[in-house]
Amino acid sequence: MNFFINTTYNEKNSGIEHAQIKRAKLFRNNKAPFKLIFRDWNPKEHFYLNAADIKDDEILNMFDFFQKAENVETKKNNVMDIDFGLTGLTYNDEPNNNRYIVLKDNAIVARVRYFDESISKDKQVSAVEYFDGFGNLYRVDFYDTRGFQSMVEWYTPDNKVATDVWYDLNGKPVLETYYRKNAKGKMEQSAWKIIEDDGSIKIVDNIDDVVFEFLNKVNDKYFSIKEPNVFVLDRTNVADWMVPKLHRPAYYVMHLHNSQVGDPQKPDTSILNNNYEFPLFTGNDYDAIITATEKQRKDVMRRFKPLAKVFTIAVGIVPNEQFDKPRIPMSERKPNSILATARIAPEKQFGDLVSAMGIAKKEIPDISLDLYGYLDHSQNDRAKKEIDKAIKKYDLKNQVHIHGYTTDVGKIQDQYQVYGLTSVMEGFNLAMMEATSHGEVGATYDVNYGPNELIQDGENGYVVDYGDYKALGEKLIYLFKHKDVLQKMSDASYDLAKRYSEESVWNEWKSLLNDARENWDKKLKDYREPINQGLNQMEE
Amino acid sequence: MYYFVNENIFTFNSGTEFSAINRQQEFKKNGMKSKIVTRNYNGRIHADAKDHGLDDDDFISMYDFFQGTTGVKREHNKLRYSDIVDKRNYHIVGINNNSSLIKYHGNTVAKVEIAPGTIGEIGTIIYYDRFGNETSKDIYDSRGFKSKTVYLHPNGETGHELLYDIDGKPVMEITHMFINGKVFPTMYKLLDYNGKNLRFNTEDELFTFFIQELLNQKEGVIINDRPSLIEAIANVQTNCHKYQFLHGPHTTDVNLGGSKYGKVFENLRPLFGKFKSAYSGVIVPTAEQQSELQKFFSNFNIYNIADFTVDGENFVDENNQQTDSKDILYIGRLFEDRHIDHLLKITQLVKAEFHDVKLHLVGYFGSKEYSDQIKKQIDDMKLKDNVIIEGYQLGDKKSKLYKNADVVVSAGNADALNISMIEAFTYKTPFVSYDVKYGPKNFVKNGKNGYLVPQGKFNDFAACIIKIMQLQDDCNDEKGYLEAIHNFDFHNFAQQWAQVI
Repeated sequence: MNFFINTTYNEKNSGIEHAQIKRAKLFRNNKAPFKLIFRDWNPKEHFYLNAADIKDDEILNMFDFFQKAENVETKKNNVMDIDFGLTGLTYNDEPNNNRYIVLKDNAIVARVRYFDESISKDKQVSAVEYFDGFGNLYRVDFYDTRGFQSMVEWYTPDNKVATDVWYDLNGKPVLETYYRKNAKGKMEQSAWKIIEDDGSIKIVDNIDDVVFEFLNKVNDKYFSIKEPNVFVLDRTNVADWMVPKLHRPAYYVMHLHNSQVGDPQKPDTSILNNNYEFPLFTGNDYDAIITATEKQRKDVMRRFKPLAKVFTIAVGIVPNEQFDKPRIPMSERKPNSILATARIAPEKQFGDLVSAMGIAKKEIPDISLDLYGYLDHSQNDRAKKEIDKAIKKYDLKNQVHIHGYTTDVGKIQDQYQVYGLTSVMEGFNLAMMEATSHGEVGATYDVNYGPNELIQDGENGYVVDYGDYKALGEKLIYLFKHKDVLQKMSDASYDLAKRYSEESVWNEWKSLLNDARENWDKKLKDYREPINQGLNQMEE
Repeated sequence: MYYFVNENIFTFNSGTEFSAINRQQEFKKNGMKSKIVTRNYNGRIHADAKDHGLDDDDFISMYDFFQGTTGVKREHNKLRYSDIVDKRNYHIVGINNNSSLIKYHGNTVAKVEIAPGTIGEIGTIIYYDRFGNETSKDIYDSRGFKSKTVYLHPNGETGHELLYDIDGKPVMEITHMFINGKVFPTMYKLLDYNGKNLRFNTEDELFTFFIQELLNQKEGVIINDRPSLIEAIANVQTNCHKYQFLHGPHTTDVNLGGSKYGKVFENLRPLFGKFKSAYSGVIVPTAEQQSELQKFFSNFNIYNIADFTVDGENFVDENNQQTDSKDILYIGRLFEDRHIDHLLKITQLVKAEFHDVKLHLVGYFGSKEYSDQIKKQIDDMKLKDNVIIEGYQLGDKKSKLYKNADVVVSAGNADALNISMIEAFTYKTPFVSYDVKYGPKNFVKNGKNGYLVPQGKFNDFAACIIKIMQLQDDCNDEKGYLEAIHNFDFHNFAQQWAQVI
């Protein structure tokens, strides 16, 4: 079984989750078994993953696992389904607060919260706050979107959480954590208890230890002498110290979704990306390392000389149907148009892109730029301020348009000619890959990792030196002045996108899975099962 | 069916429980269906009951009932052979016969307390966090299964409790929160009881419901042995008869029991007041107390039924008066109201005559403070070699004490009956006590089966003991004993109880 390890999945996600979903579908289409492992408790996780077309049995949440709730038929509980153990209750709906107040003889029995309409229009119960007969709030039950009581917070008399308990579907406690004051008097999680079906109990310090227990159980459950379990650490911090320490052997994969260094312009000397510091220091404990691009693979090999095999596997996949669509010629797109789709954040340096455009404006008066993405207000709105400064400097007020986030990226990409990028660093850049698959021509800084590989300089766009927006401006002028070159490069974009076809990416994965299988016998040979005879006989 | 309502069958019991246990055994012998019914949680109740000669079908405990475990048989649950500890990752480190630590990577994560009176059986497991706080405790039933988990508030007070059925499914939840700023149980909730949750504010409300459920299964007569349960039983909605059995005097000054100046005990007032109509009558162990009560509550049925029964025609064993040792036996609660300090002073006086006299104190102390006080007094009075604190005793050990004693004593101010008096008589052992109502005054005959001494007269008390010890013939006539125990003969038992139906 192949496992992809992450923390959680929400309504909005980052590139790692998008890459995982694409990979999941690739594995599914190629009939390779897999499960997406999530560490965090999240009562809406199945809802959002189902919405992304991931099926329940493709999801392996740690809490679900302990609760034996991986596959649960959804039951939409209404307030009337909650049994308070009392009769003669009054239910007052407070739709503005998404909750009911439940009373008996004017004394509060419970507040019953329900999911908002984005989840369910049926006032499906999301949480129940219980009060005892003396008016104390003593527990809060949280419900999964699938309709079962998933976690209970038990309160202290002075209204703090003392214990969190996760129950199985029969109401048996299976996992607990406690809150106590530390030496400085601050409440924190101070222990976890795992209660097994056979009655055995494990007490551990923190959630990492719980994850370790969980991964061991998963590895045991899916253990096969035919082929190894493959654990791909998409978020290394979930389990990096557990590599390669699971009781039974397995195949461990470190997945570099981002640059391994803080300053990707200095791949040989820069401080390490904090997320990858521990994994790289322990890199030889892994069986394989995945980089998203060939350039990153070379950099990693050169600097760290790892003994683990390093595979380049694209994190983006262009779906087959995209290749079947008719190509849209440049003449049918908005003339002299540039598109960028990304979070409008300081590290994206959109001020540089606007400046390049400003330089080009002298020659291409009707040049335009459309930006789609969330506006990031960090650093006192620095991103927006830099854009505004460049707009003012080059008088581009009517030519730069900032739009919000869009879900229909594909349709937009068909309407523009050039895709621009001037960011500090990238892990891959899924949006740019999609843009090329829609025939856009790239204009980008030489940025590690992704843009300088997605765009082959002079073939499907131009790659200029990092920070040289003037050069970028010149390239824009050249492209918009030479319609034939623009069209030729657009054709190349469509062609080069085949590097990321389902077939190409699956072949990359296949080579990793083959490596896992080829080395399995060797790993098995060194492994011994623990003693399990003669340990439980009871003396008379 | 008769239901004998009590708080508990404890590890250490008082006369109230001994009376109920004795009654239960006699009912069974007489083919009358009955059960002791208890309210308190007691994970050892099956072991404690067995120690006191009861079978599993002689009692039903409320928690056992709701846990569905009344019929569960004992199985071994030895720590070293238990699945509870994953021995590939945790070490069990024995500390002594009573406890072991569970260690993980060198840190103590739990402590296992071995069940009392067993070798290595799990009693309680206390779990710790990484700061060393107790977080929760698993309480094991003496029959070998996990009975409940107690979760603690961060300050160490009890937080909430979860009780399980035999399969580990939670069946009851008890919440401990503030009542006027102090932590008390604030809710008892039955989970999925016949498909429903049921919420109660107090343990007594739950107990009332429990009794109703028992009566729904099988109607019967309720005999409540505990004044503390008067209200809970009164609230039981039923047509079945309810009686209150009083095992003590009814007035604060027993001498005013028949006087209009007598002050009825606070905890009994509801019985004779607002809950009177809920009860069909009150049972007391002596005719004297019956007539006193009847005088004041003429429209309330007051019955006299023996509190404790024995074979009224044969001795259990012959007293062993031939031994040279001089033994005084006190058997009962070691509480302040039983005036153990008086017994020490009396023993000191006897010691002047018999240097080697021994006072055997059999029973359990009411508190650590009282125990310390008595022990200090023993030291101060230089009675270390003359007083033996025997602890709580049952069975052969207890029989032997009665048999070997020259005299059994009591220095309390009042007794509804006094079981040790009757038991002493069944061994033909004299009983010396203050001349107090109701039991001693009615059944002790001077010079025949013991002596009655005016309250507080230590010299007289000691003189009576010395006399018995010196004179072979004193209090040595069978008749004096048989006449007394005949009043408690179990051959009359069924007849007596036929009154209350």
